[in-house]
Amino acid sequence: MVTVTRRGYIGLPVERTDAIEKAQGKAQYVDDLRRPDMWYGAVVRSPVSHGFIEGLDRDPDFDWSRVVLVTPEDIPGRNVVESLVHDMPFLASQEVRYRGEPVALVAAPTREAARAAAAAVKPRIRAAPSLTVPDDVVRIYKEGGELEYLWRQDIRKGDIERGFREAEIVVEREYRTGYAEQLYLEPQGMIAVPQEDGGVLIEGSMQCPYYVHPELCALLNLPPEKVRVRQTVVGGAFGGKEDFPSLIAGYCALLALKSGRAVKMVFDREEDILFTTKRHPSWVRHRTGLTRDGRITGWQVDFLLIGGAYATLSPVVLARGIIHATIGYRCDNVLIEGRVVRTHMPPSGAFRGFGAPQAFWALESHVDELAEACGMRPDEFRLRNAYRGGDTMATGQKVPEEYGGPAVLRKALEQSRFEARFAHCSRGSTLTDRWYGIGLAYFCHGAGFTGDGEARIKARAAVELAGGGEGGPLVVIRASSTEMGQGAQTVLRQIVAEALGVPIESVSYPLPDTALVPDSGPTVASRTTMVVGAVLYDAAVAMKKALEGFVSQQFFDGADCVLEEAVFRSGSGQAVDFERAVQDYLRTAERQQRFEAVFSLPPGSQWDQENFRGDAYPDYSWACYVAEVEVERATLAIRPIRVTAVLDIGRVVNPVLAEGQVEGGLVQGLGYAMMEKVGVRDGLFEADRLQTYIVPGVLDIPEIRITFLEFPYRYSGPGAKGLGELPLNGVAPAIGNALKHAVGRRIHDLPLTPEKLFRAIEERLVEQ
Amino acid sequence: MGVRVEIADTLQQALRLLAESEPPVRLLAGGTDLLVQWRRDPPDSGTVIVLGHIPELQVIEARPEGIYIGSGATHAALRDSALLKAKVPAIVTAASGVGGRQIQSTGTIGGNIANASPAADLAPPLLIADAQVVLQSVRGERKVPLDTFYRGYREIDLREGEMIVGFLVRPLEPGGVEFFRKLGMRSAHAIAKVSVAMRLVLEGRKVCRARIALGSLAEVPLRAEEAEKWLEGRELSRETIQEIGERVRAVVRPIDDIRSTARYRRWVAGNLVRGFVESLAAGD
Ligand SMILES: Cc1cc2nc3c(=O)[nH]c(=O)nc-3n(C[C@H](O)[C@H](O)[C@H](O)COP(=O)(O)OP(=O)(O)OC[C@H]3O[C@@H](n4cnc5c(N)ncnc54)[C@H](O)[C@@H]3O)c2cc1C
Repeated sequence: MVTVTRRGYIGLPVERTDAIEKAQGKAQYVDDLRRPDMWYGAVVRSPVSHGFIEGLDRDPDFDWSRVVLVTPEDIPGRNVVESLVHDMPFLASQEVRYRGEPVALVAAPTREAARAAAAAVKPRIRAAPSLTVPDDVVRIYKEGGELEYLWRQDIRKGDIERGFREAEIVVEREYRTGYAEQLYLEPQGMIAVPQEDGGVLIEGSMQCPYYVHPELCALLNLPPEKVRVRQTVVGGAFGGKEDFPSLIAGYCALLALKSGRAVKMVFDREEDILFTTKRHPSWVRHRTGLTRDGRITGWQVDFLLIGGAYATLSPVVLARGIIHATIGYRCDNVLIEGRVVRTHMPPSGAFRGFGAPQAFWALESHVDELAEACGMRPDEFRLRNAYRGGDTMATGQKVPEEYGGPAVLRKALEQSRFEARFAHCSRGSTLTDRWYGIGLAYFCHGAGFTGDGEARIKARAAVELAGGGEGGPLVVIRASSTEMGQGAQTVLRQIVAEALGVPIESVSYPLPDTALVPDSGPTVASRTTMVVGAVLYDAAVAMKKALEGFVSQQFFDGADCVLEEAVFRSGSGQAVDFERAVQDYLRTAERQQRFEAVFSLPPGSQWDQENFRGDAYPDYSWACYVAEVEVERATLAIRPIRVTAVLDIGRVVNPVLAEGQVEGGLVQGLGYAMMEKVGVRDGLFEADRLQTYIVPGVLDIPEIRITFLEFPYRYSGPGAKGLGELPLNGVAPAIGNALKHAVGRRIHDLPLTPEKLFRAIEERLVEQ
Repeated sequence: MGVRVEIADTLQQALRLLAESEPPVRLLAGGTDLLVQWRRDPPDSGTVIVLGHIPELQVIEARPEGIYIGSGATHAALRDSALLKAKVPAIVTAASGVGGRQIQSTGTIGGNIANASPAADLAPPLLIADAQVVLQSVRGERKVPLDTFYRGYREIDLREGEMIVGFLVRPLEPGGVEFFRKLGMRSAHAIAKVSVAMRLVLEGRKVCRARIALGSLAEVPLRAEEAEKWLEGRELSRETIQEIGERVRAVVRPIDDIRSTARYRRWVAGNLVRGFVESLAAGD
């Protein structure tokens, strides 16, 4: 069910801009593209998890005549990914820190030849001890052993000692999650084309053209105008193409500049799974003080993420993780200690949710345990402890008087008839062959960048007038936000069309090209519709004002007019068509064609980055999932039967796409909750293909009921908040809680499999 | 060098090619196992004989000595066969659960067995139907019971120059019922982490004949012969139901792997067998 308010194009289920070309197979992905005289690149990787490079041997029997080899010495600029912490080289030159770490590159006329050449380069490496298995990390951490931290951050509120002094009950539990793979349909890929001016053009699959751009300038020692980055059609990303594309773009560029030819590199599925980023495994310990009547007095959280070999995005994943670690519930005394551990595995990275799914797996499982500890139903406990207007979060951010949280919680409970169904949970009864359970998760997602991120980025985006003609667009969006299947192209066009008062067909939004678009910030953090949408709205309003001013002078003798539905109308009923007005306007070259705007945080926003105090996000999207599951007693097969989802994502710009995001996020979360498992063996991810990395299929999907409640973002025209990540955040704990109430036993680590359930209740089952 | 691909139109032609072609010679039926293997490890010499165009291999029919299923019958053909549904229903259930529709339309019963995986879905239902593997080479024909055709992990009794032409199976006796169930890591497109097939022939509440076969529970698809013998002649009583699961658990040899654990597999195999016996006792 969708109940959204419509305001022209905002709230309208407009058909996706890219639907037809993708459905017809016409979309050109990077692997479809050929460039004249193009070669293929391949990566020479470290055979060990940790060690020191002593040299590279080239197989003397191999024919090297048509191969270009790039080693760290060939790098013209800085051999380091600048990202947040400058610790990861493009090519390891002394120490290798994970198995598969790139140490050299080759290019050859065909993909096969490139692979063969890569295999003929043998790095000589003196192996050193390594730490690769997440379970080992957790064990060492709990034993107080020595670990190296890539990042640390704490959050403190009130007086934690006092919080536990006041407690009548203390509950302490540990929760774990493992690696997970984004599994975008289209693997990572790039083409680099050398330019006549000594620069390079990069085309490929990416989320953030303006992440790739500065990295390449630094790597290649080129001025900004000599590096041009163009997004090709992207077949899914989910965070996996946030930072990694900078690496593969760098590899192609190095090979292209050395060989003087276009070089393409597209990973196959195994290489992509083995050597690109995964979701951070986590271990979270909650220790919580309660009064007997269910008030939370003190809350201490130990939040450990496994970061892999280099920091890359880990500091911000950790930031989001710890901010969401206790979010939603009032408590005056909080201490959250966050750590990212360094290991000898590929760097963990961005994946839809970005630390929040790990946080909510722990939090929402734990809150159920808190309810139980004080003899309350999980819904009662949540309603009693949910923030009220004027409360402060762990960071001190003030909760607005009216916000979506309590509303989505109540609505989901009511729609799912939670209370009545909760009474019917089987709790492992021997009287039935099918155990039934219902469980809920109450969660949110901070929309936009964390802390002062948006203030630092100052997202810019523009709308430009174009000539139209032959059905061409009259208005062109210039933003660096990328379409990757989520619908950005469509909703941003809707927002601009609405702000201007023109049909959506007049507005086009080509794939970004750094030569043409300003930096709107990366397409991450559920920020595109909310942040870039807000900026484009403002830019379009400025354009509209300028055009109205022009038309009023030019056509209506200075009488005021308004542009609506593609017609300028004056008070006295005169009318001029939009297209005609634009063509007239453009006839004089010096008129302003491009209207740009900049994002700003809500007035009064404050953030103390050192102590993590203040307004962590400009706003929050809220949701409540109620999951119902059935467990077959004979096999412990777990089947989710229904999910009732109520979400507040602010104003819903496109209800069909929004529902699609919720369904997709839910199913992806279901995989995380119940199936997806990447073990580590000999320093490599164990499930390296679709045969062993199991994701849900269509038959695994339960009935999904979606409702949106709109609590708009108050500081933008469109009023949208974040949607992209939220739907994944709460799936696992909702299922986990339902499972607990079905079988009478809680599983504390993901994924929730029959095997794990069996281990947990084996004794009881064998007795029966 | 390179690989020579031969497309056979008749069985005789295929057998001759098999005997005379440049080795190594590989048979390609639906290719759903082979092409996956070749993606990682492509052949670079010898011959590939394509079997998909040979009508004799696709036959499914009743013969005096039993039901005959050609090795080239696809899972879709098995799934949609009225004859099999009436006479060996567990085969139909198993075929309907192989991969997804695309795999069912392409993959064959012969390839499923010749691939020699302990998880092959068709093996347990064939085993409970006392299947004989019909093998041919230019030298002649040989029939081997399926339970001795499996020699060890990924090892079958297929001799040089031989191919599987079909399977002879025993139709369901009067009073007979069959059962097949597979557990995978998801609902479809899943390799069995446990599979169980059973055929029981009942006289009233007494079990006259029992066949129990198990997939992914040992290095080969397994018949639980001790458990079968124990069950034969018994009434479907509470004690029988209690005990049969344990008898099955005693014969399996499961392992821990990426899909499941040995302990779970053993437990669940017993439950599935017991559950089927229990459902018969309850008369449903
Ligand atoms: C996505 C996917 C899902 C799958 N799901 C399942 C599943 O759920 N259950 C399951 O059991 N299997 C599954 N499989 C495996 C496979 O589809 C089946 O085993 C199928 O029956 C193999 O038959 P084929 O005709 O494709 O064999 P091929 O790949 O053609 O051959 C397999 C092997 O058998 C040999 N061979 C073929 N025919 C003969 C013959 N007549 N005589 C001697 N040797 C022969 C070949 O040389 C080869 O070694 C799946 C495969 C894929 C790709």
